[in-house]
Amino acid sequence: MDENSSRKIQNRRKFLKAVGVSSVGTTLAGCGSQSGPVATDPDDGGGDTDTEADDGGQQNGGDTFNIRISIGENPTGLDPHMALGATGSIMNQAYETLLFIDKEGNLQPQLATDWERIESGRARIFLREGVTFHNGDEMTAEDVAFSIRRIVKEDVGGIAAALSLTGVIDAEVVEGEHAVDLLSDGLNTLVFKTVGGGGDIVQKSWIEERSSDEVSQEVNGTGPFQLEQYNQGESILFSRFDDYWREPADASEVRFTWAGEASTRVSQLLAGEVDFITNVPPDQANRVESNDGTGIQSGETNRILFCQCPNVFEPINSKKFRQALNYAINPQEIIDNVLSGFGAVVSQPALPQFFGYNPDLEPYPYDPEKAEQLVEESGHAGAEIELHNSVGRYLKDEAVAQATANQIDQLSNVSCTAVSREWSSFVSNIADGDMSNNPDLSQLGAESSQVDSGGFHSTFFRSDAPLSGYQDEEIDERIQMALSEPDTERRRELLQETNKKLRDDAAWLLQHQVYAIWGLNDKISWDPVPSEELYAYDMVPA
Amino acid sequence: MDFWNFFAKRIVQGVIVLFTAITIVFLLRSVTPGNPVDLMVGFDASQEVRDAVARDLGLNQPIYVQFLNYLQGLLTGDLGYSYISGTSVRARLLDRLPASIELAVAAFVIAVTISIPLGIISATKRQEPADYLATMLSLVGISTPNFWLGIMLVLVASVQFNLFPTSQRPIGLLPAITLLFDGNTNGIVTWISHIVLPAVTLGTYFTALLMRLTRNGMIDELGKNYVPALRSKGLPQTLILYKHVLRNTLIPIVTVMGLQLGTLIGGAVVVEAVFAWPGLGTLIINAVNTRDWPLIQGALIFVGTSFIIINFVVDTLYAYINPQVKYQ
Repeated sequence: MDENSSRKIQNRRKFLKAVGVSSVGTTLAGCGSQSGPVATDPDDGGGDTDTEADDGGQQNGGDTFNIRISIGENPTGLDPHMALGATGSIMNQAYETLLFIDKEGNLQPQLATDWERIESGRARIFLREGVTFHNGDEMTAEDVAFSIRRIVKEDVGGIAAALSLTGVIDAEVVEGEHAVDLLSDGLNTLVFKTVGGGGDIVQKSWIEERSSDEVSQEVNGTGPFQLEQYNQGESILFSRFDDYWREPADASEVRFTWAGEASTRVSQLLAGEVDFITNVPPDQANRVESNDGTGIQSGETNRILFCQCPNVFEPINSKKFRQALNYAINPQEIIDNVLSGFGAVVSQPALPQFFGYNPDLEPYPYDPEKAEQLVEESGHAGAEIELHNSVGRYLKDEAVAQATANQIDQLSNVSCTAVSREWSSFVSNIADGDMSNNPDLSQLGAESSQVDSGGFHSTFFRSDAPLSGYQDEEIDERIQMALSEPDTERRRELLQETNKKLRDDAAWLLQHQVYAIWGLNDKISWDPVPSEELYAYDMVPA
Repeated sequence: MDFWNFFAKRIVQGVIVLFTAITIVFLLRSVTPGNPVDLMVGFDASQEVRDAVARDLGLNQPIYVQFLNYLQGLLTGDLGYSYISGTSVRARLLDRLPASIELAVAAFVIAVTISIPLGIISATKRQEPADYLATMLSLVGISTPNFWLGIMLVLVASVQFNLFPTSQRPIGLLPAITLLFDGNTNGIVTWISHIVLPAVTLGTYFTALLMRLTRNGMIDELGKNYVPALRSKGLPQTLILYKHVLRNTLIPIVTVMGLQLGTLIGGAVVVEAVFAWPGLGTLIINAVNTRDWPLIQGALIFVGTSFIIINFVVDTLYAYINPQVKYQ
């Protein structure tokens, strides 16, 4: 092999590794339906200086539209680049990204008005004029370049933040233009999607004048709301930013509080103490809906619930056996009975809004006879397998797992039991890079924050990814091909073909698309988005 | 032995207990599955990234080195930094401590205020309707799960009748009192309205327990020889009851109270969850779930120290109340 091509292969491998690392953003982060394990608390002691007297139940009459929101996790601080969980959803009100991904999975302009790829490794973002930060200063290209660099180069927010902009290694201001170039190591097909899902823009001078502690306690963004008051551990109050570059928001005030227990949030909504809550459990949806003055909104998310099938040991390494499992389960029944109808069947490891979704594929039908036949043909009749699941990490995860295991167990020639695992040891078991000690089936939930099959495949199906749950050379090649394909339509085709193969080879036990349920006071009109992001800007008076 | 010797001895014992506890935690660390790095970096992270994070946290060093470093930090009062949030452990714990103390003390006060009189009534009116009623109530109180009781109280008192807020702690006691000095009653009213339901929920088991102990202890005492002796001496019944019998009854109960108070501070996780009360219990559970070892260790020291202090106070009180007992 001559020098040139071996170097190309090295670069390709390096790039693949870099892009493969978290092109999927918050992937397996739980939706925090019950108290999410990553909930953390605000930093720095000091007394509680809240002098707010009565936070009691009744909302304002008259013309002011104030919104009180209760979420399930508490934020760790206000630095948008250190956003773990709750901090991210709260900071969405005050900070913005260059682009955003709409509910169909398409890129839309936001702080950027246009974008184009200059060459392999250089992507140009043209910035919007007339955008001001909360402190009145105009957003400059310097600020944008600084923001990106702060995420990918510095130690701010640590590795977790850097991973949200994977592939991007630097940013530079374009001479003479109100634009910034994003630099990647080699062709980065996902670069624009990446700044659609992350990369909040902050002001360079504002950050540089402050210590990291101060940045964690104050806010200066371009978003529709500015910080009024931050009571650590208790609440965060925003007020409308009238110089927002779009129409100012309808709400004049937005207040965030948090309560880990879903039933507590429901009580708060019913008692009129808050106007909006996240993650209503399906069995309480009725209560909220039938209560006078409140209702629910439910929507599809970008998240799939599935079981990993590590195809390196028996009987999971048999394609027929895996296919049998997919025929043996009845996801619609689980959606109807366990999730009160909140969910949708999936046909492949992708959702309709993902780029690369194959619309010609059908979900596996429920066919236990065929399943039993396939088990016989696989030579693993009488197999005993285990399905491991988390508890409280994904909506009704334990109940769904038990129902699923039960459905498989109904087959006469397979027995299956569900095993509940504590999250931390479960993760360590799965993500240690060694598939041979994985459980037979591991139930997980995964989302694509880029709404794109390219990154998704890379994280879950590439054999050398740390979360490696599947090993197939042909799949590895296809993934690599798609990731380095510059032509959009050709890339789409490649991804669709890969999705077909993954479905037909039963690489996953496909369960369902997760639905999220929100509770609202009738005074608010709002539609959910699949990314589950919360934008108070979109909440308007009913 | 006099008081100061007693005190010194207790301090030494306390230090030994804490040291043993920390050692055990470090031993557990090496055998517990689960790894904070996995929970911080997300699944997709490569091995290099994980190694980098582990290095950052000092997790790549052998366990005994980490142990020694930790002990060294302790000597200077440095409890380390939380893996997950990077903030000072001491700051996080101190931030949560007032909420936990308020809740525990409120529950304690409610419990004592209700249970002792109830116990006395029960004991003196033994086998009468009042006794039966009180005993049954205490049985219900002991058997009712915290979680259910809390949610029921919220549903009835907050959602249905809007008597109390459903959850949260918008203001602390100290700030509320400060406001009071300025003539503003809003703070203290808010504080009280928010603490009633959680304190009642948390205190119910304790109330029931104490009531039964008081009742049974008192019945025991009333059966002793000195009671008719005092009566024949001409002492009025109330005096006998409150000055002599009650005091004797309470002596062993004080020990129980002390232990319970310690439990109330760190163990109110369920109540904290239902009422979104920002206390230590929730912090500790989250720390355990995320393998945030510095936070777990720090919490252990905090809670352990409070137990030691409380027990010391209890034992001192005990010696004070009961002249037969000397400091040992």
